[in-house]
Amino acid sequence: MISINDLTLSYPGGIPVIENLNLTLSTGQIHGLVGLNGTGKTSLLNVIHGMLIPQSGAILIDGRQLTKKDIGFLPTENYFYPNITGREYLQLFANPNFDADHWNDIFSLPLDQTIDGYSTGMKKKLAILGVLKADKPILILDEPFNGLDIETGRTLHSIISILKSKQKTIVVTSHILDSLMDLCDEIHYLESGIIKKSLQKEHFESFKTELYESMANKTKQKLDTLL
Amino acid sequence: MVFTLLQLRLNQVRRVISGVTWYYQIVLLFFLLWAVAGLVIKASQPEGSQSLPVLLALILASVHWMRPDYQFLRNYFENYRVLCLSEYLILSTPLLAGLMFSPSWYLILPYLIFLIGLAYLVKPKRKSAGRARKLKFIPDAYFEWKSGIRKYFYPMAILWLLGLVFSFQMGAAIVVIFLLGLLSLGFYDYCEPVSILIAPQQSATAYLQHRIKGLFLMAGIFYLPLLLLFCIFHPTHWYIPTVLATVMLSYQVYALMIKYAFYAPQTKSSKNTVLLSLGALVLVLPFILPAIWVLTIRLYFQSIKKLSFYLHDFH
Repeated sequence: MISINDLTLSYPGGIPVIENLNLTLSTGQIHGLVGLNGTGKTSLLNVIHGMLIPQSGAILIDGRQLTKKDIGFLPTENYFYPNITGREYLQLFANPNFDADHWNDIFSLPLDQTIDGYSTGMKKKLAILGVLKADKPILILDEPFNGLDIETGRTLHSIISILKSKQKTIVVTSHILDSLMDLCDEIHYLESGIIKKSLQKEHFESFKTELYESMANKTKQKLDTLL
Repeated sequence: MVFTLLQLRLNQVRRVISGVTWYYQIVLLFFLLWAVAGLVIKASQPEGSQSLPVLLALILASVHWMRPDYQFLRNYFENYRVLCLSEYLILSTPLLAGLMFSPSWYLILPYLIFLIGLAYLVKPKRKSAGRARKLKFIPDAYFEWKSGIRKYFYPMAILWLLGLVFSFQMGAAIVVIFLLGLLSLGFYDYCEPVSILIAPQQSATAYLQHRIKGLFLMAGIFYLPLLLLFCIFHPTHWYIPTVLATVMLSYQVYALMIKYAFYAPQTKSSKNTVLLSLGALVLVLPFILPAIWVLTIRLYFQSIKKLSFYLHDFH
């Protein structure tokens, strides 16, 4: 179990991004993180991954400090080194048991071409293969469906479900709510750096209706004042 | 429009310079003035006026061939060729000023025609999506070398072979070691993304030492055959290429340390360029080598501190 306790993060200038956030993520489950742009989703994931240092709070896994050794991280934007091939990128990950060609049957990437020539979707697939090769108990996937075609999106959906069955704890963010609802066991709704709601699967539909209605009302009010 | 773009370029340079402390700025300014004055004086002398236009033309041609912003300029600006030409003319100003007072003043016209031809007729190479050269002799862990050699494969291979073939000529190995060293310096100007940094799961010290080991191994592959042949053909002068290889290796390790001391994922640190230029003094004043070593040791500890932020979990 991962426990995030009293987490507070501010950017330089004292602008708070996350405030006293408390969250529990059960092992072997898929957790969705939902929120509008700028609500702190990616910041939270970066804190969990150790790329941002919070002002206060702790992130524990089974009572001990969470480290990078526990986490496989797929960022929103995928950056690679220029002029290296997909195969060479995968070779950098320390896991001798991973057969790149075997796994690449799923994505059919041209692994012997330099990554510079890959499309956005291909880069995302390669980054996913990297995360799979790292083989960590916790996977953090920030917008994993961005840039993927429908077929690959469904394939990734299946991969995430299989990883769950292997007792991996997975945290996913996405703006495609339907996709998250389909995939996750639990969804956490983030607003202004605070978890406003944590919902179990049976409450997803009512949450979606409520969220969409509230957004439609807000937009209507704004438009009424403008027009 | 061209004037605005040139102003933008000037702002970029200003931003790079303002990124470093004032005493580095003074040294850099001094170095730049010295280089410009040197270029003007050399170009005005009979021997320099013949070779410098050719050398600068080759440098500008390779800059044009490799320039990464060409496609961007072409897509968004109608006068992109004029902009390229203006930039090359500005860079050539010291040479042209020197040539005007030299016996080879008549070279100004062909030089200008060359620049116009370069800007208007030559399209820089585009990235191809073809199968990449395998380069199996380079371990995958030394990705900077795989990437760099793939980028400069032909110039490096031709230079190296020329150095071997003409090793009976005393200057061949020396020039080739110098040029190969300069080319491979560029391998360290890009900071790898965090995913690559974390991938081997090593501590900051282990990661850094692995990179240094890679540098010595790969530079050794290139330098040693040249040194060996030089020593066979010119045994009494063995120390010349040995000192040069030591200077080049020291400068390369210095460049590596700068990269990690100011590491910022997937960026080209502006401080890199400026500090590298300062370190380049060792190439013209080799007696300052001990100062570079001291700086390198200081930067080594700074690099470990910097990398520890990302890699402290792997101790």
